[in-house]
Amino acid sequence: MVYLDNSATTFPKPLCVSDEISKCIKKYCGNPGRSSHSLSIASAEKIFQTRALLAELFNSEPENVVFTYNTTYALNIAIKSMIKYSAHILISDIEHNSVLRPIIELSNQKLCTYSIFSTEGTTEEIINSIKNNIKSNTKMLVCTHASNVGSRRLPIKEIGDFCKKNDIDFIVDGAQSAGIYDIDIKNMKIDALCIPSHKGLYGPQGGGAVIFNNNKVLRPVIEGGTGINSLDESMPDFLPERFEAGTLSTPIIAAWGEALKWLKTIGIEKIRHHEEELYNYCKNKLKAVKNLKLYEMNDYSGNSILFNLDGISSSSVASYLNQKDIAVRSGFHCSPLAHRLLNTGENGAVRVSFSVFNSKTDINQLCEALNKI
Amino acid sequence: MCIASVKSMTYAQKVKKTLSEFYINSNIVKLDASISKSGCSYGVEFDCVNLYAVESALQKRGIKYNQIINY
Repeated sequence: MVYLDNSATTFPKPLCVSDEISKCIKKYCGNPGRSSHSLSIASAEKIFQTRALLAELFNSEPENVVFTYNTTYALNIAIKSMIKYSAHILISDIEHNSVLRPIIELSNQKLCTYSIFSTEGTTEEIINSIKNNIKSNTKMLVCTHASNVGSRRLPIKEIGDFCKKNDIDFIVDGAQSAGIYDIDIKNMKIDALCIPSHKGLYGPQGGGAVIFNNNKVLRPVIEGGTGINSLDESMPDFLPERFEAGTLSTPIIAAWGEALKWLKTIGIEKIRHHEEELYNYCKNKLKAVKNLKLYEMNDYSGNSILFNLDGISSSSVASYLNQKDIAVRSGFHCSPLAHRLLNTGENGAVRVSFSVFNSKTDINQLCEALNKI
Repeated sequence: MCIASVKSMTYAQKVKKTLSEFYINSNIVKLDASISKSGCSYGVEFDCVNLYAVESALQKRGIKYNQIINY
């Protein structure tokens, strides 16, 4: 199988990931933070190790790393714990449904209003669009770092600086960028970074995190047991336990930790260069395919490409490619705003996306198959 | 032995890791509810001989603990 659906989830994973899941389940999977026997402590140690590795990668503290099931849960926790009543929220015009839907739901419940800023043009033009949409009660800005459709990246350092100056909470969706592009929470003035384990960080599915910049006491979103202060009726007033009700998934988090160690040995700069090389190679090869329309958001770099073939729906192209043992994703990629912006039409488009395990041979096979369609 | 009582298992892990970086052996223990007054809580147990070294290490790293119990 030529796997080119890495923006959905990276595949394959490094061997250390499956090895650790198996090791955890067979050898040490006690309930972390619930008991003091050696299996429970061993699980808690593994979980703390992953917190520490994430804190190091994104420049925060281990206790500010809150584990979730995925980025969507992370975004829901960040948005709903930080929202101020009747506040105005800004989001970008390329947001995934994981941002768009929670904001629309909050707006439907009359808990907030929101506006959408444009991501077209230069950094200055994007900041100007934010300025033009700001209101006296704007208290939060939520945006993606890198789109899952095409290859647009937002200038989060500059947006963070702007938010800080204007006392606006800044939440970043790092689903597509974590592990590929540098993210420094403190330097970029991000209040909450939301990330998945299973994409560019090469961990298993079922893991994610919100990484807070500080340990401010925020509103809990899910209440329940935390293994501490059991006689209190309220959730603990400190991170990460305030947001971690119920048992964490030790096998997933432990395996994510091993993936992070593996990632560290390679270096995200090397991965980025590899994927950008594939991106440029693929884009040039696709331009030579007859009747193919490329949707371009950004000309120079990225790790996913969107296209359509004249007269054939994106799902038919994906289905044809699957028969040729090539995995791509068709449709709208849960990003209706970005598809609208690119005008991909009623059937969406085909997306190919890369990981460190892809090579130019994979792209040659893709283009060969597309030329024969 | 001495125990540094902390807010949670996460902080207990942080203290243990820090102490190991200062070559101080320690173990995570669950505390009696009578100590925390609010139910389950954790502490990090170490030899009281290292009391000054422990306090100094945690202070250097800015790690907060609730209290140190000598038993």
